[in-house]
Amino acid sequence: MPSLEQIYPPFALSITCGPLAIRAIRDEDIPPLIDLALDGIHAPDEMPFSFPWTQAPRDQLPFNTAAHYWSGRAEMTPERWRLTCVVRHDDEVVGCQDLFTQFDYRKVRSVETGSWLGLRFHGRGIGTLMRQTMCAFAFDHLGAEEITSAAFVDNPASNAVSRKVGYRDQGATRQPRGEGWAGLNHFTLAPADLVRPPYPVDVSGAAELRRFLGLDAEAATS
Amino acid sequence: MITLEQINPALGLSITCGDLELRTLRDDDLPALTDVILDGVRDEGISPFIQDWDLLTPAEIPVNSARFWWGQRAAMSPSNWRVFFVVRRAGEIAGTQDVHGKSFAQTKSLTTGSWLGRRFQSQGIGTQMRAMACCWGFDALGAEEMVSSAFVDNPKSLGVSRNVGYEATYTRRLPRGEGWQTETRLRLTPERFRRPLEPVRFGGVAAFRRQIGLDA
Repeated sequence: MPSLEQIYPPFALSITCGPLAIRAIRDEDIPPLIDLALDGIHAPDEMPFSFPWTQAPRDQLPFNTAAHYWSGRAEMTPERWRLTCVVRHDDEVVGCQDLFTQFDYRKVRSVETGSWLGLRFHGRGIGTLMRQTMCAFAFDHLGAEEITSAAFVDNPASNAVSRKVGYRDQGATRQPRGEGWAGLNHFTLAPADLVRPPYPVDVSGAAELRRFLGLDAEAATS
Repeated sequence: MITLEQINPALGLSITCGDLELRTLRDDDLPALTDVILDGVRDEGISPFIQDWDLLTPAEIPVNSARFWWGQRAAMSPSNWRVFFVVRRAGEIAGTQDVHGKSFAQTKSLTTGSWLGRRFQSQGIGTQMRAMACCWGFDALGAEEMVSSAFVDNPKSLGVSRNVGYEATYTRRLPRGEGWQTETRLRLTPERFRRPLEPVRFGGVAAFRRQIGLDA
């Protein structure tokens, strides 16, 4: 009988770094993540997301959020993928760290990061450590040559993480937000600029993920 | 902590009757369900599906099937939902039975679909699981008709529909393979329904009725 990890190889991925453990979201990870989202992941008068999913009514947020994770799995292909990961800190679920493509990754080798943390886990350096960990993984195990990130200008925590991790500031563009617009800062990280995490990054399941994303097939023919 | 059944009440549904149990598909079911598909779903020479999802390579079938079910689970809404039940006979996974409600609050009409692993066919399971799905549609959700369809050269599915009391309504051409085949649509009303002989028990109905907007 195939295991769940054989059916869907991203489930085989495990990344650890000091107190952090990162893996693709499984169904059993969804309830604790939704509890965090219901408890709040930003101040009520702030909106750090381009898609304001945290403003959904409390009775709709749980299904909408789970559906986002399920459709992400359903739509994951070598052409376009979103690796949506749950982050644990000292075995406690603290938030999400995503790695996703804007274009065919096999061609551009550029990938974008996105993340959120439960409010009570803000301000402890966890956001920086999880971004460092994911960037190290993308460069070292997925052969990324560029990592991008974006944050609204009024989201100081995310902007600070990008700068601390070594991303270069590429300036801001307007992005629709709510009824109007807000400035969105764009950041780019090159492999040589990554400020690596202070602990070793241990990865298992990368080979399975690489095959699933069509990365090894390409290497074999080049 | 919130539960998966609170997040998606459809995950809490069950229908049991005799030694058959229908439960909404969960990720834990994927390994055994994948095995049943890999062992073969169709009879030689029969092409029962619009898409030949069961004829993909053994490397493609597991993830392709999982993606399909995840996509369906993610897309469900009160006006268009589809529940995939895993069918177990005496605890062993045999196939799936799905029930699809599109604009159900208005039409009170449900559509069903199903498949069984080849080694579970021709033993009355297909008839019983369809009858259980119809019983659930009529009694738990208040459906006024149940609709099924099958290609004219799929005698087992048509036989199940006849056994349960459906009447043929109309036919239409559907693309199949490189050409087309005629599909028969069938309809069952509560009056004609040949109910299962043993009692049918439902689980999770109240929360699901709220999820699809039937109750406040």
